[in-house]
Amino acid sequence: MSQTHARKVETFTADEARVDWHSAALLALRDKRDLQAKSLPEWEQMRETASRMKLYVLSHLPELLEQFTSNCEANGMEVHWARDAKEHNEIVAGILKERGKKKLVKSKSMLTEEVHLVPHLEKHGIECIETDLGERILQLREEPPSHIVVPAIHLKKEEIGELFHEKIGTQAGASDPTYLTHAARESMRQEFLSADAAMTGVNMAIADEGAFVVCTNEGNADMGAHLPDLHIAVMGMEKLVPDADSAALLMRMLARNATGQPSTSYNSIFGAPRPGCQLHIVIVDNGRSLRMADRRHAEIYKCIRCGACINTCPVYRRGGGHSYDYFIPGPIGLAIAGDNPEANSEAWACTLNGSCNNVCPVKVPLRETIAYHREQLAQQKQLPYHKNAYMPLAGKIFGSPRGLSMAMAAARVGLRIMPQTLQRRIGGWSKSRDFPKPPAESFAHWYRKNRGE
Amino acid sequence: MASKEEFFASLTPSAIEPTPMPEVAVATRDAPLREHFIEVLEGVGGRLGQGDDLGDVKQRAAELVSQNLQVLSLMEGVQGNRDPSAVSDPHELKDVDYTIAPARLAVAENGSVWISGEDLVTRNAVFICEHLIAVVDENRITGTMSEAVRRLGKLGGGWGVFISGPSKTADIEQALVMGAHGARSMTVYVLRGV
Ligand code: SF4
Repeated sequence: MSQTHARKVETFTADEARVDWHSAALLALRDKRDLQAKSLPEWEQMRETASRMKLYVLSHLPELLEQFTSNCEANGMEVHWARDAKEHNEIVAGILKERGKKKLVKSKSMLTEEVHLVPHLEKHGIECIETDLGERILQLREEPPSHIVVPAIHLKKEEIGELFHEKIGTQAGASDPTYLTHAARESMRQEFLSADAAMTGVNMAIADEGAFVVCTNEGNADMGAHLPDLHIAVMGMEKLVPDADSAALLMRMLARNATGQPSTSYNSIFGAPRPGCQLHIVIVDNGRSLRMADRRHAEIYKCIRCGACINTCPVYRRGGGHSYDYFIPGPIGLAIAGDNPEANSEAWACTLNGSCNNVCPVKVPLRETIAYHREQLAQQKQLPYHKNAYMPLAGKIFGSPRGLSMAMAAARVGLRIMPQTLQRRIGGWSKSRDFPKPPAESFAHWYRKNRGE
Repeated sequence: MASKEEFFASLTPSAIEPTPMPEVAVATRDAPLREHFIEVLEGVGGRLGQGDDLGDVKQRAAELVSQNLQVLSLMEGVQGNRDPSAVSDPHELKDVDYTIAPARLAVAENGSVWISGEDLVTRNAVFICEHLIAVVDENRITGTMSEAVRRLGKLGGGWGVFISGPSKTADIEQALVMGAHGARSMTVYVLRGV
């Protein structure tokens, strides 16, 4: 079993100033998102429609996959099928090797992280260059992303300055973001121009058109895809939408909800290969259909990967993305993989406050899914933090009104007399937080005094 | 590797109850769309071209050429100094300073313009340039992305892109920087309709 979330968080929370800085950066994204959401009078209606549209998709996957495939083929693309990660990686390596390709530029794709594509291709002697700036920084640092939209959010500009000085020859000590970004632009230009194949993810796959949408701010997906004669697009099968209206609905929500922009800089719609070039699409299951066979787990596949639930999550903000076992951090990561007994503390890296549910553009029931994982793990007696031992006792105490009132009285006294430093010892991601000041009396006592007969 | 049949055979049926497709409302916005578009365009880091007549675009192109810049014009009637018909491979465009391209639509709510692959010599022409100038007719401004997509018609069989401002990134400490991999600047000329 791997380290608990609480243990891993300690590395991050050791530097309190950094925790505050990290948390503020994410809250700023949340604030910008709120402004954009509020600017659309139809926002709540859009969420409801998007949620139902995705439920339609998830309950009609085989038909929509058939339709998407035949339309893509009619549009001159080639479609491949991968039941699992291994098949996906073999298909991609096969396409590249058959054509003698040696260098792949890729834009951000959570799927390729999920299936560990890059190490597989490197074993086959194919060089892979991440082209999203954040992803490239992490590739050079040999480190995984800590967020699905802003992958290098945990890094300071000085750290990136040092890295670039060493790897791409920027001036020593330089840390200005504009200078560093433009230096990366120059260096990446050479990579784009010398690549012989490109890979992108897919944000929405439009079934009745046989076309797909790729959204970026940097323009890296397009810069990559429109140079070499081979483009491979990879997608989890849940990326389907039935039609262009549905894709437009999600395009209106994605960037607003992710970063508070009215749109990403580029929404590129691919409906055919470039003349004389090839466009391949790899459609992946890799456990999705199995997950969807469990109704209480199925709705996680409505997710459009905007990252808003991560930005708003207090545990993520104060614990950082590297404290999670699964490669997707925060609420959506817990909802997807929180029932993995190997990482059994994950489902508890959550306060069940439900803020994630409230910001989700497609109404993924994040809190309910995470609670469901806890339930399942409890049934399997897989509780972390010795909960197997004390939870039954706690259940007895909190289950009786007398027990609860005695426990609360003890907590009030405890919080008052225990020094903050000691309180912080108590736990994990809450280490860098201060406990609230306890009220002088219990609510029941107050109520009797003020409202009672 | 799985064939399509094997893949479909391996799918477990979804537990989600068959849900009907909801009606997807096409959101609209009221006039003045031109002003709304310009405001949002500037908010996403784009610039409004000086002037609202094709003559103004021609003049700008001539100015750029006179500064010895590499100008690729894909706009009918606007002269650059790169011959579009001579482009056989997108790599050849790596030294282009300015691309001038027609946009078929603009979207007020997000300041974007729709550029169709059919109007470009090669798709990368609007990404690889240092600066992008797009030209759109004010009568082609729609209120929302949903309205724009409705007006595009068929998407399969071609390629196109909505571009909202210059290429940008905030991957280094959330500081917004223009000019990540695509054009460093984006100027849109909104022509008065006839
Ligand atoms: S679960 Fe919802 S909020 Fe979280 S990333 Fe997915 S779509 Fe966004």
